[in-house]
Amino acid sequence: MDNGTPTDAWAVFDLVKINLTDILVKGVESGGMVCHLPALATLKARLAAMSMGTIAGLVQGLVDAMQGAAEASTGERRSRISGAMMKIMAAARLFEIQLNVETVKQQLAEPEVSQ
Amino acid sequence: MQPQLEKLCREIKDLTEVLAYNGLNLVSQENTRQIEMLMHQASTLRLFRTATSLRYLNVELDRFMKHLPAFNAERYVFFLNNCWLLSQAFLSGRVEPCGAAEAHKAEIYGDTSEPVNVEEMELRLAGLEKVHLEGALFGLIFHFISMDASRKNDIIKLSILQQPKGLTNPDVFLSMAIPGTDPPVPFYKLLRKDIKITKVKFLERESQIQIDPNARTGFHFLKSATDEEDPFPEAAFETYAATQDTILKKVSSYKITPFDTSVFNLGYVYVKKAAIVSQRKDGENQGNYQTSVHVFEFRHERAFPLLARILDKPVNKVLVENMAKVFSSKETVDGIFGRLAIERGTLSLYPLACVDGQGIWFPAVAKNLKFSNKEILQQLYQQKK
Repeated sequence: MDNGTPTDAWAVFDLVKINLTDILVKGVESGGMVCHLPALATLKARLAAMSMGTIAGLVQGLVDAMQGAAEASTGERRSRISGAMMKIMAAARLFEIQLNVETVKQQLAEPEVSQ
Repeated sequence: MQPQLEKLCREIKDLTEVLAYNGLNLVSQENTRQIEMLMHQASTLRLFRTATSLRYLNVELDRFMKHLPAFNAERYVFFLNNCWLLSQAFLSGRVEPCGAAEAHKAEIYGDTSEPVNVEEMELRLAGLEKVHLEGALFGLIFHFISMDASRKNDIIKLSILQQPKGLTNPDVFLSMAIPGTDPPVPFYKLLRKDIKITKVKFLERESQIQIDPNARTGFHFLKSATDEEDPFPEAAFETYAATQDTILKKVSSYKITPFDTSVFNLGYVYVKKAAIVSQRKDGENQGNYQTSVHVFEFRHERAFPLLARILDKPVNKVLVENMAKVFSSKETVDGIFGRLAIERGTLSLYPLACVDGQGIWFPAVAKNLKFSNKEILQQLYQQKK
């Protein structure tokens, strides 16, 4: 996460949460799977611009799973897509916790001055 | 891996993947029954963390199906994700029940330690918290400070929680007698007296005591049984004095696991010379995905920024009102004791007690707490209807 301010980073985490929560609440097939793909492409681009390559890669994994081979069984396909979503949510949360910690460490590193 | 464990984890993984794929519109009572069954199996296999995550996943699904405003999609996704992650942790073979390092095992399994019997503990209430997880749990958490030499100034919790069953205000517990006390001791007396608890169960890892009615847990007053307040040992709060150094140490020593929420808990702190300089409400326009929060900004003895973020729920009404009163008074209180967390890159205090010129008071309840028998009876009547 080299580019952008912490505020930009929080905004991107919000975007990850909003996009994924939307799919997890409405369902992958709601409105046709294809309707999720443009939002995911935008998300991936935002993540890449913030040098959050790991999560961007996981989002690409979800896009691939959604566009995945038609020969996969329904169960397999569901498992791949759901697994990809779960990995994104877990990774985003871990990054968010790290950002939380680093931001507060910076605040606390300021010299102690009584108010 | 035990076949039973593997079967359970596969079932949890499959269920969470079906829920993730289908979304909530296809969710049914059948799903909640299945989760309940898996939850019982997880408890039997002592997978407490998994059982807890399944339980809260079920709570959110139940709220969604009943169209309760308490449904929170973010929380639903968190527990769905945690159930999937925990099942994956077992299925990936990286967590063999006998092979994993103890600390890592504890992370995945949850707290498997048993409570021990303690003959007596001398305690004084240092904080009070109301809990209402709609459809799941309801009650009070008492945060005591230990006055025993062996656990000097440790914070020890007592949770009085039950299913809500129609009750709406946990204050009702304060007027009730502590189970097993003879003569009956009402809970509200714990707010202002030094007490000795005898024959109690103690869960070290959670720093939590449990009333054991079979062993006849006893509650005794160390000074007198009158309603008069015993002087609070304010010096004990020094152990929790919030400075940059102490908080930095907590942050640096915290071990992050993939199962944590994005709110990062740092334990108890005492913030000295605190005043509230602003008040606002965040997240009102975020639809059903978030619960809005009341945000209070503190000025205090030290230089680091500090907020209180209190969920906008009926159970927090009095707490928010009391914090608003501190804000409008523009007064500086001697100190605020509470739980510290990091949320969205900001240190956030959940207030459990305030100390001012008149002593200690608990912002979760009205400063001059009065019990209305009519209100209690109304609540109990609603409970039975």
